Amino acid sequence: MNSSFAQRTTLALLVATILIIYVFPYAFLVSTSVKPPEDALAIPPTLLPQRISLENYSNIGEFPSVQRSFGNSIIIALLCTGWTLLLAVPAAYGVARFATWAGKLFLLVALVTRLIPPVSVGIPLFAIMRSLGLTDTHVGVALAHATIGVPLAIWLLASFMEGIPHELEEAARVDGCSRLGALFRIIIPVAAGGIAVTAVFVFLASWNEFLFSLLLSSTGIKTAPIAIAEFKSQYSIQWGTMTSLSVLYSLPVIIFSLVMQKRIVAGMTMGAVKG
Amino acid sequence: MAAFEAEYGYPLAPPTTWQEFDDMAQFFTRDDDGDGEIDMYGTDVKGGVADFEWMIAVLQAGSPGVVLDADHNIIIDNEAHVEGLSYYISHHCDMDVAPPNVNEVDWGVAENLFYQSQTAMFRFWGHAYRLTRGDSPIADLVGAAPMVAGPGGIGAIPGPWFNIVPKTSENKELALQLVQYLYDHNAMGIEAPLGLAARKSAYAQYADVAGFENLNPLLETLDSPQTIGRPAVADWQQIADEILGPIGSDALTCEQDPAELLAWGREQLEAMGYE
Amino acid sequence: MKLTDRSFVLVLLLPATLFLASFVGYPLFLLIRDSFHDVSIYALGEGEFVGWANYAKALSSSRVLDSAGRTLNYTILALSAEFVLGFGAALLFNAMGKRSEILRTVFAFPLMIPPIVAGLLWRFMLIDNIGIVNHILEQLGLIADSSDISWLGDRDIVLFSVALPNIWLTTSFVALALYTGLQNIPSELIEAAKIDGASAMQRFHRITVPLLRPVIAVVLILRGIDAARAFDMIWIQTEGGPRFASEILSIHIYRTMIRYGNVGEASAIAALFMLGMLLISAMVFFLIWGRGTWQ
Repeated sequence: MNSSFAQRTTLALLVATILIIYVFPYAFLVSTSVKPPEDALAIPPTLLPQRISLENYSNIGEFPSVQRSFGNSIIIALLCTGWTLLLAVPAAYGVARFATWAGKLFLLVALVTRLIPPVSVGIPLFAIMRSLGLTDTHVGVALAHATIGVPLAIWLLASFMEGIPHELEEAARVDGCSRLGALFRIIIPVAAGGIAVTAVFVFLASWNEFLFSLLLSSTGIKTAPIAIAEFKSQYSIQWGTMTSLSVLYSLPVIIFSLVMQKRIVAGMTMGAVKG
Repeated sequence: MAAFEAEYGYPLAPPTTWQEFDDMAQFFTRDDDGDGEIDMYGTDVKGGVADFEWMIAVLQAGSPGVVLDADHNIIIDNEAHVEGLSYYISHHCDMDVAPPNVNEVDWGVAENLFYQSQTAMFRFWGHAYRLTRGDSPIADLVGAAPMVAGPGGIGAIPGPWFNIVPKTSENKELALQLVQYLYDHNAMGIEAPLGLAARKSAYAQYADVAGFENLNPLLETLDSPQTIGRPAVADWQQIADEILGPIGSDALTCEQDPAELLAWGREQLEAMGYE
Repeated sequence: MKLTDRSFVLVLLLPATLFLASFVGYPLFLLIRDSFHDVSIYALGEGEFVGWANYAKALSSSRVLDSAGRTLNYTILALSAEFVLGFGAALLFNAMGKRSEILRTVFAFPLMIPPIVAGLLWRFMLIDNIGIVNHILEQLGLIADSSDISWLGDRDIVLFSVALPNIWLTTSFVALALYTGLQNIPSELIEAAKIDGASAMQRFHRITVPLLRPVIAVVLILRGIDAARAFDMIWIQTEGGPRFASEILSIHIYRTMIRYGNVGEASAIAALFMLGMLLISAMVFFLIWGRGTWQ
């Protein structure tokens, strides 16, 4: 592009504005979390902390149930991810490598499940979990999260697997490998990157999920988002502690995602672009 | 403060009646630096919890109960309801003695306004006195008084306490023992962080201990015949959300007649099957 | 025994199918069944058969119809903001070429933020008097006093205010998806059009938009469905208030089903809601994608 100085300056200003607006809310969250608790709602509010204090973080120690909720979230998200991959990897392979009507129908059904508002199936799921004796268990919540994870994973994995050249498998089959063997020896190793990205997505979907967790867990296995939301309960919001919890809750996800950033953005947008 | 006595003809002391409360709310609503903006308001109007707050004035006005009487007959349109609702909105609509953004003021915001000395008086849960933060600019200046009396006397709605032993619980015997223990040793709750107990006898034990100056006023409020719990009906949540909240917030627009709103409330209750 | 390809696929699909049938299909069946019964949350699985009564009640309730209207408004509001901003950003990235990499990294950032945190954070920033947004607007001289705009307390604007965190979080997705789509347009096509003397506007209308059509359709449908189903972000900000002004259908269903315990009635509303979304998505799909020059 043959841009003049004025054009360049305009572009730079535009870019700077976008960046500020985009990063500002989160920066403000972090800034608030390191203010002394009472400064969270100071009048007038300040952008930067006047005094740095880690009290909002040390206050978390007063809420052992909140600390436990982080552990619950990790256990549930891991269970959900493992279970989802177990079901979704073979299914995606079936859909992607063999063009059958069953596979196509399956993809369509998986897509349609996205239309279901969680709030509508929450109570039926609760009734099912109760009859299975799974209410208030990690497994119960993880299974509920997997209803979101499985369709998502199948779509992502199917597009990753379609990208693998057929010749690879054919060579293996000629060498006497069974179809199942080809899946394990050829497809899974080659698609490992895609599977990892899918795992991250499924993990995040579970980590962020709110409504099923709310309905299916009581005190024992409460997840982190529920614990954070409960600071908005009774008669007041403890903004200070809530900001520090929010930072802790989102920070691992952000670091994790920045490390894998390119692959994640690719995975997230690929579904849309490939349709 | 002589200035108050000079203006209103009686010495300044914690308000005991609606009239005194209104006088003081007007007295303390002031623009200290003369910039045309009010720096401190006399009190607050908690429009953010409108489904609850105006009920209290209804009891102070002398109603035998809120919304429904002891036999669950509709009394939402009796005179005391009209008087109570009118009084509730008067601090906002007629006297302008409360921060004008009433819809955003819930209990948390009200608390914050008070501790940042944006309001001079606030009517709040009895245990809040003990939660005054040490670093608040007014930490040593807070006092507690019984709830203000309307024409019907002192009135408030106590928050009910319940411990639930689920039908499906595996250790019912143990749970019942715990409930018995909590009942017998109820006073222990008073020294816990929230400072809450469920029994008057528990409060009485601490009433004369230094630092618990809120308990005698609290007991006096609880002992008043106009302190009445909400009706024990299964669909109370629906009544509060669908009828009481809308009546409260519509009334706070200052454009609707309280009596008409309450007549609408009767229709809604009748549609739910009450008489 | 030798399996044909077809039956091998069925074997591969079986575990996932069984799972989805029992944990998505069966709940849906229960939902439909409940919608024809008078079920209370205190006695799930019991209740009298009432035929279409719950549906009739839902369709004649002004609360339901108002919520449906708000759902539509909220979706259109959030989606058009996300789409306009996202498309603009995608074009900017495309024009910047390689230099946009840092910008794209920053742009991807909100994608990682949990919705519940986004909702709380915006609620925190929008409290009037003490919120940072009004404070900044006041400092910039855009409003006279920090209590002038009551973002979450004013019934007329609250639906917009609760859409803000949604827009903040998902504009990134729209931008990055459309950017990837733009990158896939063969540059020879654009070059050829340039040589033929087509203006930038013409190139955009004749080449970019038609070729991007399938991506646009998918983005609109996916984000539209997500916006229409929004729950946690709005719940955490206003619980649907003030006076139901931000109550969209998912909030209304939650309130009816969980807070009031009227499972039968709520199930009928939910069933109608899903049917509506299915019809609208199908319509959008055929309107945008079906007509496209997709080869």
